[in-house]
Amino acid sequence: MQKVDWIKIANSKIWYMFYVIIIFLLFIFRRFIGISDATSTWFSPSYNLKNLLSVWDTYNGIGAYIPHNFTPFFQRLFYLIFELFSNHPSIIQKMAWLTYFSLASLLVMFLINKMLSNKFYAMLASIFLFFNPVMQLAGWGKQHATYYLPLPYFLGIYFYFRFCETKKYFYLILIPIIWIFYGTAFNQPAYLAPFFLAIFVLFLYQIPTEKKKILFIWQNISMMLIFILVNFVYILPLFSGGTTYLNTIRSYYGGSQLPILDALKSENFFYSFINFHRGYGYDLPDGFWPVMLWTILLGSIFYFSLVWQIKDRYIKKKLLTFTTILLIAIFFIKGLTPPFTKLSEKIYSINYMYIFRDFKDKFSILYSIALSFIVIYLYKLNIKWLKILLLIVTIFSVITFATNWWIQSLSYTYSPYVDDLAYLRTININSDHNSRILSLPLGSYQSLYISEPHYAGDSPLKNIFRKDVISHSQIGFFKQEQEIKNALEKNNLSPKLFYRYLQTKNVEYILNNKNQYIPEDSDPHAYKYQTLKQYSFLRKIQDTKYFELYQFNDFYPLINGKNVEFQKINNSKYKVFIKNINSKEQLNFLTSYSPDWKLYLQKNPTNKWCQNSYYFSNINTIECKENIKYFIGDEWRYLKKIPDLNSSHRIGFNYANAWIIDPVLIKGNYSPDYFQVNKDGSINIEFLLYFQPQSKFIISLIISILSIFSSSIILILFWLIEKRKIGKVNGQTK
Amino acid sequence: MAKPNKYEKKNLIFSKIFNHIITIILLILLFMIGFKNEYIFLFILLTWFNYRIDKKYLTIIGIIALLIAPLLIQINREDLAERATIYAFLFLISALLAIISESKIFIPIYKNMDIINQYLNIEIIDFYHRLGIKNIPIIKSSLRPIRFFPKNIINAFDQTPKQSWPILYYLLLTILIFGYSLRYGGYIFALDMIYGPIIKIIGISTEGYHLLPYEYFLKGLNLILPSYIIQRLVILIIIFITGFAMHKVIPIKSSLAKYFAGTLYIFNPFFYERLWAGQIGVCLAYAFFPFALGCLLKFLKEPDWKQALKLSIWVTVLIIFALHSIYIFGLLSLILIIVFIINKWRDKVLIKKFTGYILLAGVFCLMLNLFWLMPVLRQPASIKTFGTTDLEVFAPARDEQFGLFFNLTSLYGFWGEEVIVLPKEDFSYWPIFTIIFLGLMIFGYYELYKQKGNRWLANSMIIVFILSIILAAGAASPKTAWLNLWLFEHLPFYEGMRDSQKFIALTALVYAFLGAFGVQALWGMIKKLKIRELNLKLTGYIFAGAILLLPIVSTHTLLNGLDNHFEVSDYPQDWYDANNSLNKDKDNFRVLFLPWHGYMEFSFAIPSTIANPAVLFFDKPIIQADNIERGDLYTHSTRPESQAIEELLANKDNIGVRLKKLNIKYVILAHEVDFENYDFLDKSKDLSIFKQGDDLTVYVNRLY
Repeated sequence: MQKVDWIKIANSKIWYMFYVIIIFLLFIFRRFIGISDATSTWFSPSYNLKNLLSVWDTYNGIGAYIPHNFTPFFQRLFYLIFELFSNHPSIIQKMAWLTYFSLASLLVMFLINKMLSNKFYAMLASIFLFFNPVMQLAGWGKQHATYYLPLPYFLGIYFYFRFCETKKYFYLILIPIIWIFYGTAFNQPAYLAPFFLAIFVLFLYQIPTEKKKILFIWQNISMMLIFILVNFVYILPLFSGGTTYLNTIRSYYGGSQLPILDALKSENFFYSFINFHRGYGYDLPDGFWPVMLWTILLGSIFYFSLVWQIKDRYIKKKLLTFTTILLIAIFFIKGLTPPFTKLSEKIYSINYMYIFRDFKDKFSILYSIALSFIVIYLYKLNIKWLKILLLIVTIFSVITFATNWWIQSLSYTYSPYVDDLAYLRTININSDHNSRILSLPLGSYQSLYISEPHYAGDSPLKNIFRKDVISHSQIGFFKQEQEIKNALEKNNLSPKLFYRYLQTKNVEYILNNKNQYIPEDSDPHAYKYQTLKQYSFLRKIQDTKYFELYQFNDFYPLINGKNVEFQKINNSKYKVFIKNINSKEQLNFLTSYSPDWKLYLQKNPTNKWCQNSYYFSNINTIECKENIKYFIGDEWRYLKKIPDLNSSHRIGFNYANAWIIDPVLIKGNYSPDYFQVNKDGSINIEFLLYFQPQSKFIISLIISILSIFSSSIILILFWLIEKRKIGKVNGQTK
Repeated sequence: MAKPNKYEKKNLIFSKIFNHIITIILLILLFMIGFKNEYIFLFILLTWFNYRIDKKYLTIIGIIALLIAPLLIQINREDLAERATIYAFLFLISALLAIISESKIFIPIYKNMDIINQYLNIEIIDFYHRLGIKNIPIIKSSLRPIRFFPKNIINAFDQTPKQSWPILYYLLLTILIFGYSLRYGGYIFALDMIYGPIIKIIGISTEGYHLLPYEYFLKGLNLILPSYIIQRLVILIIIFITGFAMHKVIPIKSSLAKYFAGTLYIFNPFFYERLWAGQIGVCLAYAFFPFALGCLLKFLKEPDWKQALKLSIWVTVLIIFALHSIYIFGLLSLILIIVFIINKWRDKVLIKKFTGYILLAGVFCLMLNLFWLMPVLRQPASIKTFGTTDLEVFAPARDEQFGLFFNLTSLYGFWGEEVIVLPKEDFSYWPIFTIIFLGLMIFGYYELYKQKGNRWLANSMIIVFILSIILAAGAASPKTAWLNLWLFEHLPFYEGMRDSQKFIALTALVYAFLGAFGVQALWGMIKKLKIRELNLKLTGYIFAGAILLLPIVSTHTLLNGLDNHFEVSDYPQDWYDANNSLNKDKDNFRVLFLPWHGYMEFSFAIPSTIANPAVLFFDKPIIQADNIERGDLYTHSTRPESQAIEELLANKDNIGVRLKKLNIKYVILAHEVDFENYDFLDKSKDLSIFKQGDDLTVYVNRLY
């Protein structure tokens, strides 16, 4: 009988296939993958992509630097491919995720195979990375934490580790470049920082000579510099101040202290230690056996890496390094629970620490990465019984932590199972001018909960209607929405107040969702829908089983004043023309007040750009058809250009931007090029209304793109040289 | 196999005992500070370090604790499971740190092999092997102590007990002195010793610029340690260093004499009274004084630029702790230098060289002290505010029976002595101690005088002794008052020496210094008596016990937290609540703290009369009284705010507007001493109650 060649079988490429099948099996039985972080994205990736190029977020009413980095850009570009095949969000999502997740896990398996030179064990080790307690969060829809981030975190640690071992310049450029695609937000690299630091210190400690130590430090510094250059687009706002998303978030959270930390005080240290997540309001497999299994696994890992006599000093070193990282991860995951509570408090009270606002999920991934590296090195020891033990553990892990096994038992209220909101997509809303939709009832967070058909997640309304939707007490609007919400619930909202609210908030449509509920309220279904009938200024235009749609005609346009004509160029830029000014006038701009909105007087004023206009008779303002352009090429001019009439910038209608236009002041201070004098002595002027941080964004974007481009070329050159060297060595040996 | 000799056996037994003693001390400390996770962690690490237990036991304990946790959860004991997990974490971290610090894995072998070998302490392992013990309880692979401990501590852990006994002895004395007051649970208050929840920098606002390095150091420490631990650490260091420094510095062979000097330097009324009053700065300077003296003696022996620099650094350290050190250490060094020069007058070359280095040391000193000299020289107004009234108020106290000079010679005489529980009150024949110590000192003088090379030292010490008592008497005696007044009017910064009894620090130093030589001489005389060998040993033990007990008995009130004077107490909850409410107001304002007293009785504090702690307690800028109110002396303050508030208290109209001028938005009235006199705050229309509790009321200024 012929002997079976086990080594050949273990090294067969078929394991890649097998691995992908396991992953497919996990997803395939689901109707829709749970997502809470960015559900809305799926409803129209192409629409989202366009919005990314402007710094001002019209939806949230804030200067939102942060979402505008490359990652969502690439991410949505990726989704866009699937939008070509289907218009249905569920299908787009399923295709995109399956493709991404299988590619990502294959890449991980490929890299692990490079370390182990055995595809079977590489498969087991990479399964271990994706099937562990952290994956429970997937059920709640933590897509970032569960599907998306394990790959970039793994790549980050893998390549940094490679760099520390080989000290090759190639990695100095590779690591920052990886992070352009994977730093889903500005704060992602920061989560890796403690671990990079630990690896750095441990390696520095082992370098024998001072000279080499200095070289190693210098290499790390230059990597930081490349990182800063390549990621300039979202590092700049971090340090340039200004009223950006960061500052808003900071003030929203009350300085540097995170409210999330208070919530973590009552968290259990034991579950943090074994990386099980509780307290998310849904059921998780934290029964006795999963917990016991994981505890025993951890105990043995500590035994193997700390107690066990290992002759191979290289592997012993690595095991110790990753055990250190594991313990650091536990320290961060525990939040403010004892032990070392004071130290944690001190660390989290440092000013910039608020960027770790999701630290629990993110550090948990690093925990599982550290663990899987330990497992990889244990495989490397090449001990038969140990391998069998690890195989058994992996099989148990897949059974225990594969989300499909328990996803059905999730509680209904927070369930990320979502049905398609197709009925909303049939609503036809006129979009030839800028106006907003008020969606009732108002929630307290940017989520939408609908009972029939079932939907729970990030509100997709703005992507469905392509108009700004007021659906919750947003950061920018907070106070007034809260008042309206309270009054509507008590049914004592005065017509006068409501009329004024709709008028000054630029609200044209009111969408009354009959099936929506607010799970945070004491009675989630308290809101009744009869109230809107009583307001005579509302006109019902549609009434179905799920919703009512009202129209309000007396709303003010986005930019208004006497004799104003305006045109939208993009979310951060508007052209404004005002004619026949003979006395002081107020110019209103109905978005949340931000001191960064600036007016720039234009030479030789003209309104020739205004075509296909929409006239608002109630306030004598004309809205011209928008002419969307993102790059005009003059952004750099506004970096230092002094804005006009800035001293008259104030808060209008209790929330919006307003300026006082004084003709006397303009005539007295500006050359005649800047205004036209009419026969009656009144003047015409033209402004450019600009959100000034946009110019910083464009400049930093250019710096980033140039750096990415040049470092990519250097990277390719490095790679070619390396390849040639290897070729030469191989040639010589032959 | 070679058998261990008698000495080696003895050494082994000693080292074991030594390890156990250290563990016991650590356990006592742990008990007193409280079983907090951080301290348990430190305890585990130090114990590992002490016994060199194999780190695998640490790991296994950690793993077992971790495995027990889910079982405990299963039987619904989540609290115990939590505790078990915490221990698991602590043990695992300790094990990891132990491995990283000791393991060869992280030591590059080819580098500095000889240094590593030096640390490996191979002899001990050899020694065990020779004893026939194979399973050595200490680790076999490598013994590489962590280098951030000072060398002496390393020795202590490296089982070479002989050099480490002093550390142990003074540590024990420190713990005995601290007693139960070391325990966890709040702050220790004394007249001038107040600590708030966070360490604040007040050196600038109070114009004590010389304190700034010290304050910044504590502030840095505060990043890792809470302030109540820092407070205990400071006191621990003061007591320990006081004895240890004297022990190390004194140039004498006999170790008993060294112990005597160290003990006497701690156990004397001067140190007791100053510690009682919580004069931390004075005590710190006193503690580090012997080091500076040692440096000066070395400098006189072999003057070079390195010694000059060292000397100037020590002087600066003393000045950082207490500005008065300029005069106290100045007097000592002046006399030593003059007598030394007279002694060596004939050696012209030496004198020339010596003068040069003295000047160099002066220049170094000046440069190092510029950081506080510059701001003080720019605004000398504050220190000039002291007047002759101060001299009378802060004059040294006299003993009713024996008068001023005997009181000073016995190291008593602190100006606030009448409220202190004095050791002499317990024992009416107390002068006997003074006489014994005087006798030992004179004996010591004679002993030192006999050594030809040290004759000048003996002479100068006696001169220092006499002069220090004369200067300390100051305004209290008509015989010395004129001198004091003259110095007060003519020397810069001498105004700070209004409390002239501080010179007694030098007297205590001379007692300890010369007394040690006395003890050595006395033991030499006893040995010469014809006693049989066995009896001589017994006599030796009795003599040593008696000689060490003598100072302890003479100032026995120092023991057990200064006879329960150091008590642990905390600020009332109302204070914490008020602070939190004030912090919520993000405006830029100041807060007035009343009653208007710089020193007063606080019901929560033990002892009750302390300096006003509001400025240290509250996070917002506080305006509080800076008056003294002692005898005829009301205040020294020239601060405009204080004058404005004092006017406001005299004439209570338009409170709101006048407070607003001082940028005061809130007024805190603590319900202490004469707070009923401040009922005008309730009546005023400008103020409304913002917060009211049992211990204080916070008013808000409506007109702000």
